[in-house]
Amino acid sequence: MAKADNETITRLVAQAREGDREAFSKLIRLMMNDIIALTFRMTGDRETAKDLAQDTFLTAWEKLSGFRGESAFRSWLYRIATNKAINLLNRPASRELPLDMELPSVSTPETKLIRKELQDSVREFMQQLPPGQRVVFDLRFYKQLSFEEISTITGRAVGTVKTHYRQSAIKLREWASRKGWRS
Amino acid sequence: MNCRKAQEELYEHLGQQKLPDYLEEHITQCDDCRALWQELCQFGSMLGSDESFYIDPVEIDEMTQQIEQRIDNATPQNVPLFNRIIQFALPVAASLLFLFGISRLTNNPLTSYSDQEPTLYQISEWSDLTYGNDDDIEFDAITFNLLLRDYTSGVETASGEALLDDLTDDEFEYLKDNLDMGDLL
Repeated sequence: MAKADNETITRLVAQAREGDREAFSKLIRLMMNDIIALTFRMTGDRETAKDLAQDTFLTAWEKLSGFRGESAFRSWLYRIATNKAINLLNRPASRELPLDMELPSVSTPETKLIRKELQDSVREFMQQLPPGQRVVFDLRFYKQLSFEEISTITGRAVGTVKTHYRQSAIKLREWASRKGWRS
Repeated sequence: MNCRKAQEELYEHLGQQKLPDYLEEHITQCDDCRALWQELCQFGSMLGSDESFYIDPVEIDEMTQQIEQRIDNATPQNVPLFNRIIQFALPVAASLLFLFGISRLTNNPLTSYSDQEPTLYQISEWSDLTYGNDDDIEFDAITFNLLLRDYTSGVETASGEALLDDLTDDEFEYLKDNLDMGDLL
């Protein structure tokens, strides 16, 4: 599902804030991929990612009246989702999540294999990063957010966010070299 | 721009579609920095994009329904008004009935049934005096006065409670007119 345009999201958010459940359901459908991709890369586990995504939307519904629209709804959801993921990852019992399942998708066996390999690689790389760096890397690399936006979402200074990203990129280079990706 | 600064910024641009002009200009002139950027682009491309992690639309529908279900379960506003009133009113009513029942059970029978004239049999029970059954005894003013005097002359109840001492005639007349056997007991 393609990313929803901001105008549609803004309209649906306004309706949902008035208690329109149907509008909120549309929002969930529009934003689910966005959130589950993030939570999957954060946790590396499909079921955990699904649980976190569900919790994220449930929290969003509960707190929707407090969303004042100062930031984009998408960024607000990212903040909820990343906080939940970090809380989970920081629990001692959750540090070793099972890394065995790929996200389901409709595709041919060949593309499925490629996709599985890619997801395995990303999962392996993301596990090299501490949770704080993982969030910054994900929001910058995959969500294509600016450092200022990431700073707002994570509540960290722009300089800190840049340092996190730079360190992640250096780790990627080292890790990829070890894996033999160097051309 | 020196290479150290350029490379710092190149790392920060990992995954970005386009470099700023000043960085583009630098890498065209610097082999090391260009090599680094090409390497970063190659590694970045192997990590896929956000869309590589999107899930099946059917699964999105299922998850959406599950979230809707959880919202329904967590939203008290969806309970009809009548049901919400019943939810609160029933326990309150039950509590009040219970308290009322307890008070009736624990209250002195004379005060509980103050609008009814006590039978002599009842009085005999409270005062530990022996009488026959209720049918055999006729309640009259003389017996009542005798009972009252017993209770006001230092006699103790079965539970050992001391009763009132002797009364003056005035006090006796007052009590007779305003007798509340529950208070005496």
